[in-house]
Amino acid sequence: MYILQVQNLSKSFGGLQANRSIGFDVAQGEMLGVIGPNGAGKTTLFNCIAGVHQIDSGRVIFQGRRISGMKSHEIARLGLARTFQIYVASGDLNVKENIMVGCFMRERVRSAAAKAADETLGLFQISHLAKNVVAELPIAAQKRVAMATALATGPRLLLLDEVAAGLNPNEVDEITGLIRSIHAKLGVTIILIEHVMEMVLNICDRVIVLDYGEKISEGTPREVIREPAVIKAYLGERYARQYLEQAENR
Amino acid sequence: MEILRNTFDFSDCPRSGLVLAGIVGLFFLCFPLFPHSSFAMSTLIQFFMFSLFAMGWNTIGGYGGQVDLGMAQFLGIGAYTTAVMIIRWNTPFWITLPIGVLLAVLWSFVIGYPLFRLKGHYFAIASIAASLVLKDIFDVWDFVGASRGLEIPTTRFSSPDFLHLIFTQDVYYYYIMFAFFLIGFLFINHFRKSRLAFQLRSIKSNEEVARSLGINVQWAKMKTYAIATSFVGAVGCFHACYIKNIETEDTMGLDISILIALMAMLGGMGSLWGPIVGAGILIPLKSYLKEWLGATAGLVGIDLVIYAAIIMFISALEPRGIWGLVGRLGSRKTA
Amino acid sequence: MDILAGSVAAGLLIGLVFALVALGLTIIFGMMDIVNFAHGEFLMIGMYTALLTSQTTGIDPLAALPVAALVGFLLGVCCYFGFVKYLLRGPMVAQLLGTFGLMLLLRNLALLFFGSEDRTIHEGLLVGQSFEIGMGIVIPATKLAAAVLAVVAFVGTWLLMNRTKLGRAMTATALNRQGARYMGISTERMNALAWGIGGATVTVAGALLVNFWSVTPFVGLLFTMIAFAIVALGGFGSVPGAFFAGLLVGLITEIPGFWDFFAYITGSSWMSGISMTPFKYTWVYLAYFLIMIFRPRGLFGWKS
Repeated sequence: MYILQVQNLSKSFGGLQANRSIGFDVAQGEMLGVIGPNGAGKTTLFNCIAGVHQIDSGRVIFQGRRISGMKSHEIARLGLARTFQIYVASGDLNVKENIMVGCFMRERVRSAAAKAADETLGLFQISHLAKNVVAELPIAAQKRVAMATALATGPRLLLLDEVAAGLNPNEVDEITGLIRSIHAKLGVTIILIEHVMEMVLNICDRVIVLDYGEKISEGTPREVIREPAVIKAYLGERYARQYLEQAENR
Repeated sequence: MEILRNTFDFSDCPRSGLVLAGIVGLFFLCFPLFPHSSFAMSTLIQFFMFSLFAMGWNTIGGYGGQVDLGMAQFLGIGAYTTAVMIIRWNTPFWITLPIGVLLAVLWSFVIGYPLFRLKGHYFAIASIAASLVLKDIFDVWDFVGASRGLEIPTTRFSSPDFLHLIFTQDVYYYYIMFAFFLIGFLFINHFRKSRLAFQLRSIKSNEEVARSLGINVQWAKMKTYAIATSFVGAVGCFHACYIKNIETEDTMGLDISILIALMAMLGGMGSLWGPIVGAGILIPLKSYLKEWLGATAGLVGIDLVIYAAIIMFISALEPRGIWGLVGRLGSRKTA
Repeated sequence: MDILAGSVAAGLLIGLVFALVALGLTIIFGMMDIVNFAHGEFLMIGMYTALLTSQTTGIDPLAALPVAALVGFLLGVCCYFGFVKYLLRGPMVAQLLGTFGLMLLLRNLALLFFGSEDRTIHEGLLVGQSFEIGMGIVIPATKLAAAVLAVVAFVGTWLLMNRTKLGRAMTATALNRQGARYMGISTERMNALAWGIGGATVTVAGALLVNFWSVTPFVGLLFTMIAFAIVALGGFGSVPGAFFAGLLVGLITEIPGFWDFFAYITGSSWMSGISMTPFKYTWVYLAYFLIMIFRPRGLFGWKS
């Protein structure tokens, strides 16, 4: 059973073809990685799936239902949540209130939303930050809040856009563990865009590789890092060998 | 149940603030019993009215971050509805009130739908334009008295007429407005804890993120605009009976719209007390400056010069309003 | 036919002056994204400056233009350093309300000093003169002179901004603030200059207008709204946009004339039954509202 099917998705901005007939399927409960060089169209792909951009051609099917053409808030309500690569919360909402906004998608009254938010805070181990303003937190904590807010909507599919960017190796390990645990506990399907290859190799079941808006490879992490096209476009010889060794040693 | 609890729950406000609010509330309740000038009385009525305007504005402007500078058009709709209905058909005020509010809300949907496609400055200026168009129409529309305005003939009613809200003594208006004020205040206390308020604050912070959390941004803004305009429209209906002589300039002018936004900003946007504090400072300041400097000293315009200078000072030096100032002093104390 | 031609001519002439009125607003907006509510009040000050200079010294009102320009420049620069500089640090609401405060201040200072009565220029080289340019179109000399001089001032400002080193530095600042700072341009001084030029152009427009438009302390708001409309039509921050949008808004204010013309040629009784004169400026606001909704980048789609 596929939770998400992307078929022939194309999107261009003016003369720039950001996504060119991309197609892939995501199985229920899977953890899929999306990698590729900067400007390969990864975030555009997320925006097309989540309804931020209207796609030029192709189809996106979520839980058997066509979602391409729907508005992003409608798609969110169907159970597709996402985080943003660059998100500085500028408002006056504190951490708990931020998460409550997510909870309010399913809850109608404040007490229920607050209760749900408390659970999410606990799950992400940020209960002690509940009263802090998001913008004043360190970046690792901000990323947690962003994930927690998205997850608070109770999604079936979660799109994570570079949640490990800007974190130190320790923090990357922590957030990797966190993603793994929410994946296991909540059974939510996850697609993540990531540049930190260690993390992708560690947790993804499958990876798709984008370059110049096209899908150039698809397979298990071990398979794709061997592919010459991927090495040429993204990894480079030296890193590919290094990652391969890491993967073999595991 | 939850709604009732939210409406009367002030547990998140600091205790000293609540005590102060209680004392001020008690003062308002007893004020007419003390000896007072009619000028002080009318200033307080104005304070209640403008508090309500600013509370309404604060829902969309403060919580939602959409700076509307055309609120006066809804004041005009409410005022003219009541005036026309009382003058032409002798309709009781309490029937004109829901109709006036309904018309204001309908108009808010008509202009809100296109307006909320705009953001920032563009939204603010377009809201002014919409308001001016409506004012120009009222200025020539004979049915509503065109540029002559409308006057509710008091001789037709024997004061106190509670049905039509026509009184010769201000004390009746005072208590009715005070009741409106309390209802409005409690409503806002409910509103700020509602799902809609959380959604609005999320929209204010980042619309794209808000959408990703399943919020229908356009619809949330329009719902809030309807709330804001029903506040303004309802007080507009009252305004007609209180002032009795309404003209487009006094009810629908740009100055009124800006004054409404200004009070919310001065008090502190997106807070429960902000609009009340703002109105509590600006309304007495404005009317007493006018009384002392304008009328008594005979210097026409100097009251508004001082008033303008104060606005400029606040917006340049403390744009978060009095609330920001309190917060700043508070943090200095703890630091 | 002469009604139509007369309306077109009158619309275009006043439109040229309107374009100059809006020029300063669009320059300031392009530089620092701030909407100046006091713009019309600057114009009002320009009107009083020209009027009082000519009445006290006895020179022709048109000769008072340099005085008005100087006053406007100084006023703009003072406003920037004394006030707007601080506003720019704050949120958008504070900026909107702050310039509204400035508008109230200037308007009521004028009320305090000049009183509320209408003042008109009665004496001057061109006052009362008019030309007939064929087809029965009569053009008052003051309007023609105002339009011509407005074009001169507009083009002069445009040249200043595009052909001089100083002007290019301003344009660079408008396009990329950070980049300009790295190039060693003082953005602070560029902002002040924008306010100075903005102030000077609009006071000159005021000095031109006062030859045929009576002045009161309350005249400003109408022109602020007209300037907003022109800037929105032409694209926020666009100088050539302001020129063409000015002409268009000038024509829009002549809609009553066109209305009468069509009522006359179609012989339609319902059209002639309705007078459009009270709606002279309503069309401007309405056009402005619609443009904002449907073409937020301006009618001509020029990017700022």
